[in-house]
Amino acid sequence: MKQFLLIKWLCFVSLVGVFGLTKASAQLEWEELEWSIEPKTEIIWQDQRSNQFDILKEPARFAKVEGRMGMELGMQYEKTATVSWLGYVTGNEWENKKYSRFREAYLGHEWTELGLEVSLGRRIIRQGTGYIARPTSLLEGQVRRQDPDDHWGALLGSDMLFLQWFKEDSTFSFAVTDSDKNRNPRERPDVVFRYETLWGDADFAVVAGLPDPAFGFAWANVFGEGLELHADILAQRGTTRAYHQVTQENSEPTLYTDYPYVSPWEDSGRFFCIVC
Amino acid sequence: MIKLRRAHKWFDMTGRIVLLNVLLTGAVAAAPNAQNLLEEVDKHRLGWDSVEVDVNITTTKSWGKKTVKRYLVRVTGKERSLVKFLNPEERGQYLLMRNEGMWMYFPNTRRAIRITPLQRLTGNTSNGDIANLPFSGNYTPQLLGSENVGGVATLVLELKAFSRAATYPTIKIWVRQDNHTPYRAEYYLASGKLMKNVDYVAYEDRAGYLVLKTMQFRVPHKPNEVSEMQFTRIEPKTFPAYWFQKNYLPRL
Repeated sequence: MKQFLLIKWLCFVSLVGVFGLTKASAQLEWEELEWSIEPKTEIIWQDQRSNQFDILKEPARFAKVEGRMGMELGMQYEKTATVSWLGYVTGNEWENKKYSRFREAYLGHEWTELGLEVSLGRRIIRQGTGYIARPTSLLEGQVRRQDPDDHWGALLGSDMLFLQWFKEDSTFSFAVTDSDKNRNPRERPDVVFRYETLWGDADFAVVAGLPDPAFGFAWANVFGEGLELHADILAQRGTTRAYHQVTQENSEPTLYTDYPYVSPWEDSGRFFCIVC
Repeated sequence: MIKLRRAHKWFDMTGRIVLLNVLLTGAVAAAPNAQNLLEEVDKHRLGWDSVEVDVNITTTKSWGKKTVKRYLVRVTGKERSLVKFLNPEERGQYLLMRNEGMWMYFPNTRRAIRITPLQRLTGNTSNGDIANLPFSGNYTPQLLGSENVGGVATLVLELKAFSRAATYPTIKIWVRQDNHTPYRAEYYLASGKLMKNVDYVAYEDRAGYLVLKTMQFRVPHKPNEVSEMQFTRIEPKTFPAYWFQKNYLPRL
């Protein structure tokens, strides 16, 4: 509830910020204010497999048909104030739902002469080198596995204070967030440092997180005309459950269980690596 | 007497060598240096070292259908180029080309992805054509000779790629002898197969200097299809160095 209030407040501040800027500045460039309305429809048909192995002992298959209809509204002013809202109604054989979320709502400022940018609010930050799996992308929310490029717009931002410092060939970023409150698919650190640079011709990144220590590397390069290699490696202290997709995608009650997640795994207290 | 004869002989030989030297130097001076010529070609293509260019590409299909695509291109130095896609269906996309590689930014993916050199060749006018990097920073030129093309006296240059930012492994370019503007070009794949024919069709005078205005691309297997690239605005501009790195693309 508190989080919802915070987001509402940030959205309000962003809106006030945008309109405040538009009213206050005599040299306002209206073309910098961008609005977007994007209607969305989708019908999904998929064979699903229940993965509640501990209850059913064996996987059960069932088909799922689901339809969605909605729209995304976006507003952005000079990349410093952004609000993006997604709402839709969805239904399948068993239930109908209404969905409404602010995907992004943040205010920021950029010191162009320094290449420094700071923002506060809910923001989508995707890092890492892989197309689908990116263990070192520690600030990223949950992506639908069926839509890794997020055409539907299901990816939600994380509430954070975010700083980026751009140099000619490298970027340093720093984020403070409350990972428990973000809609992340696994446990994440609250404070994240990332340094990205070019190592020879390759993309290279070092990432570190606190308070539960996390440390990783990301690397990508191309060879010849068509070979592309990506590598993300993260070592993190935490629980094993976080790295197995055991819940249903929307974490809602499903046909086979009335609670979204059964956790036979406890905190391991050990370090382990995730590699993609 | 013998001494005098020897001296005469020596002077005679030296004179011949000097004359030969003068003649050779004259011959070398008459044929322009390939690298200098290529740099002059680049100056006619872009005008300045750091520029912002509005590009319109009109593709006319064999059955007459026309499609227009618009881009904003920023080029700095010889090996950095940034393309902003302006058409509504591509809005928010960016292409970054550097010597170290190529990155593409799509608004949905929210991050720049490194792409392969093969992907710079997609499209009738490829990503590499739109990025419009100077040839001189990415190719080694060799002067093949002179040729008369449709009544126009030209010099023929063969360019071999040495940088990762180069779009084509080999380019053959015909340069007008009178003003050193590029006249036509052929782009080749690594296999030696001809990929594109390019005609440099119009120039405009900018402060007494001819700068390219329009060029046409034709692909051999689609002879009746032509893509015309027009530079509607060319402006010298300097940009912060950090604009030309992948993480800044979402902020542009």
